[in-house]
Amino acid sequence: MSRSHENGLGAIGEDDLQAFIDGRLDEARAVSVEAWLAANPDKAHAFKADKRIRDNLRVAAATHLEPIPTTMRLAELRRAGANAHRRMVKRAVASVVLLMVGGVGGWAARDGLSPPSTLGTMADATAAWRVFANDQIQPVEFTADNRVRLASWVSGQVGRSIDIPDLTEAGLEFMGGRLLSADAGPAGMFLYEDAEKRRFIFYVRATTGERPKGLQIRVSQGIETRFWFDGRHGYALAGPAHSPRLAAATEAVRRSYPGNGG
Amino acid sequence: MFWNRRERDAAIEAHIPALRRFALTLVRERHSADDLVQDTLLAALSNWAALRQPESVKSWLFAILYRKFLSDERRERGRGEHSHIDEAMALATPPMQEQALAQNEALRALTLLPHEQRTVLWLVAIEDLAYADVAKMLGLPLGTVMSRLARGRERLRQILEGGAVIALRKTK
Repeated sequence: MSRSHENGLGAIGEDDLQAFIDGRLDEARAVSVEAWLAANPDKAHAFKADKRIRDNLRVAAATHLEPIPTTMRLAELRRAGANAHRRMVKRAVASVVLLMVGGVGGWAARDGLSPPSTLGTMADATAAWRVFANDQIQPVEFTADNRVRLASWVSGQVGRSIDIPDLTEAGLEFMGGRLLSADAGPAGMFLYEDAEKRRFIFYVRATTGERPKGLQIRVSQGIETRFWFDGRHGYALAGPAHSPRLAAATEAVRRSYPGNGG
Repeated sequence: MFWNRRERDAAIEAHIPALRRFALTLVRERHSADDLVQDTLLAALSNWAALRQPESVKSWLFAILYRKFLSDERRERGRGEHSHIDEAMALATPPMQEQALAQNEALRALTLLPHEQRTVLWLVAIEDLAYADVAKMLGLPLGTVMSRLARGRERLRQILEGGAVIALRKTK
């Protein structure tokens, strides 16, 4: 609060008195306030009392500083958050799959009409992007500096050795990843971001279902999913529709995971 | 700001005890207070990138907590005044010595102040936050913070010197 009043007695204000009680005045100013209080004994009593009360408050409040409960440890909050997110994804993915079954059933019944374009093969990859592209709390469980551990964990779960693709040439920085539990089995999701903070994912899981040959592209509701298969696994990249980065990233990933013909 | 996760966690966790204590003075009930702190911590983690100066972690965390408290408060308005016992103060164990008595009395008296005076006094006198930080956090001009501080102190002094604390406690 020191407003260089340069010892001017007449300039003492309420702010100076408060700062004096809180011990926040520089020495010169404190001397001025003391002089002022000496000249105003009726006020001096009050300020002495205020200072004493302040000290008492601090001592009493200190007894209310308790050890941090385990549930408030940040590592714990992150874990709890991750579990909540896993549940959310499972719900999101399950609902997509259910809708898809309903859609296909409806399509079969109506004999010849196409299933809704929003759904389809590797719809779980699209759902995963939808959930995690906007997640600001904890989109990844393993950050980029845990790349090796993440890769080996996902590899063990999806039953295939996974090298996390380096997509810097496509303008994408690797942020980290997580394991998801889709209805079709465990899936690895790797999150990337471009310079404009748009997010992209590389998604991989084992598959036993329908496996069309070659690169498939699905665009719906602003999300583009590019996916393909090999003998036992499905691979997908998903991101904002019509982004050249997505196309470039797909090319780069397909060099390592070529898939079936086409 | 570029800290690794461990440094960031340590910087935030260092303030958890004070955040809990402050939350308790605001909502006056342990569970709600801890919920408020947890929400604050989650928000801090997800908005960490928005924090510019590492030295301002404390006032930043307190500001998040206070904003959350205000939005909760707005949501709950209409459900009536808080009728909870002031747990923060109930925690103060029966004082054995005169000194401890005076200290606990001061804390009890603080709970009798109007909310806005209590908050300013708490942040300044107990948490040592800078006047300017408190002003920013509460969205008030600095002058208003200073006068709330002065009025709060005056009221506190009257309560304590007038021996009003015990009587007021009993009427609750």
